[in-house]
Amino acid sequence: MGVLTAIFAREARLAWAGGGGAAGPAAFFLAAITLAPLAIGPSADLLAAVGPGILAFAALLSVLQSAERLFGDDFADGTLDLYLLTPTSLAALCLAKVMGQACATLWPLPLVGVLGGLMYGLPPLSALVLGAALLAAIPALALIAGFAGALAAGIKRGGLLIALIATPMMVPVLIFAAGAGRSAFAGDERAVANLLLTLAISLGTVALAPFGIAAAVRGRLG
Amino acid sequence: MSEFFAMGGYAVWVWSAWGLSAAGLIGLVAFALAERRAASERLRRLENDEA
Amino acid sequence: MLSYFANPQRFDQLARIAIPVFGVLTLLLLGAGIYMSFFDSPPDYQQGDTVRIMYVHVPAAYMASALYAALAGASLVYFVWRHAIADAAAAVIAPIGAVFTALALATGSIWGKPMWGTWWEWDARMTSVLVLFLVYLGYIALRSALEDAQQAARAGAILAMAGVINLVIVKFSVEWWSSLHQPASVFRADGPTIDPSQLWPLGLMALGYTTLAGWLVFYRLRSRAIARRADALMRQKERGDRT
Repeated sequence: MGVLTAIFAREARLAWAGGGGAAGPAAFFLAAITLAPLAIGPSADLLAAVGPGILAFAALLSVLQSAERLFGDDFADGTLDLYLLTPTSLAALCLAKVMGQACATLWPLPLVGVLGGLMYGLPPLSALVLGAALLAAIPALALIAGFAGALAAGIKRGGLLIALIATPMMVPVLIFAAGAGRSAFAGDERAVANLLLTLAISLGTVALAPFGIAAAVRGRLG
Repeated sequence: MSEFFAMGGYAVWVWSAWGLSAAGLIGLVAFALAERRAASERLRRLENDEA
Repeated sequence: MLSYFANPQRFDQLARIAIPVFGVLTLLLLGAGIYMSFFDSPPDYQQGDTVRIMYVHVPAAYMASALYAALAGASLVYFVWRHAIADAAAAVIAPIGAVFTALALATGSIWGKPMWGTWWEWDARMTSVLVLFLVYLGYIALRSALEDAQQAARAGAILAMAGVINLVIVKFSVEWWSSLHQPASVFRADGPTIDPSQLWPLGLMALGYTTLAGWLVFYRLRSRAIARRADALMRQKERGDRT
């Protein structure tokens, strides 16, 4: 257990300190939230209707921002090889690693999401539901980004490749998280269902993704 | 005959769909053949150098 | 049986038979299918002659999925048993599958314009095929980005298998997503009812597409074997030149 907490803490510390820490994804999220209405037009009704979708989509892109560094840095300096040698399960290590970075850098996203929801004209309750959906989606998004990052670890300018690999896998969680926000806004009864489905996807990803990430790391290093 | 090509007024749709499909499939075959030719050429050249 | 054909010589013998067999079958099936599509199938009472697009769209869409299943299966075999031929099969299938997927998207779009009036409909089926196309692209991109062949093989296998799990979930989530919005016209790829006169050309074309894919895969695998022999010969010469 000590090893896992150590990895978690290290990852969190590194993410917090280097590269802007939590400011990175949050700043990107805010930039995207600002640009979208400029592209869509200022119609209040339209923005409120598309708001949950835009916000969920922008949050997804924000998570992808840090994917390359997560495994790329450790691949480059040999830390990943050390992980292979540790007796602790590689899958558990990878989970701790990804969640460490996620907790350190992605915690503002639900908050900025709620703020963005209000800016897009969503009523407070809908904005809160959207924030909850984003919170529920973060484990899935972070682990999928981590999986893609591990597969492409160390590839030069791998950011685009990672995004290409990750986006099809993020489709379900995007559908349900955005769906929760849209349902809350539209007032139909699907909001809770979408929220629970988002959570279910995240839990399933937590259960399965670490093994995929571990396999990817082993494949990359072997 | 011209009735056949007209496809009940839908000519442009039917023929572009079939044309694209033919192009795609023929393209795949052509690509596979070219790939084989290149590999065989390379092997032949290397084997002839040996001799 | 899998391990039996993992042996390169035995696989080569299999390929030598499979290639001409698939080739002839393809010509016969597609020939008959094309004839029936145009001359033995009356215009649909609802869709008119555009129904003939179905005869190239549905087989392409079916092959897109079937080839991915084959790719994932080969990846699983490689991941578990490390048969090099399984990895080669996966690598060879990918661009073929991508082309079929692109054809499915293009013919689906062309079919949609006279039918729904739009070039694209965000319905469950076409959206899933679009996601499948992205999956193929990602797989091909990952394999080409990794220079070491073994790493490309391993990473590709893991991605392909994860992709299968993902596509199953995507299918359900996209259907959930599209169920909230009823499309303007209820339209299925095979029309409200599929007439027996339509089943024959459709079946023949689908089988023809399948045998064509089989021909392509075996043919390309033999080409790869030839290329590998050339590589080995080149390495041998380089070593020989050095001594």
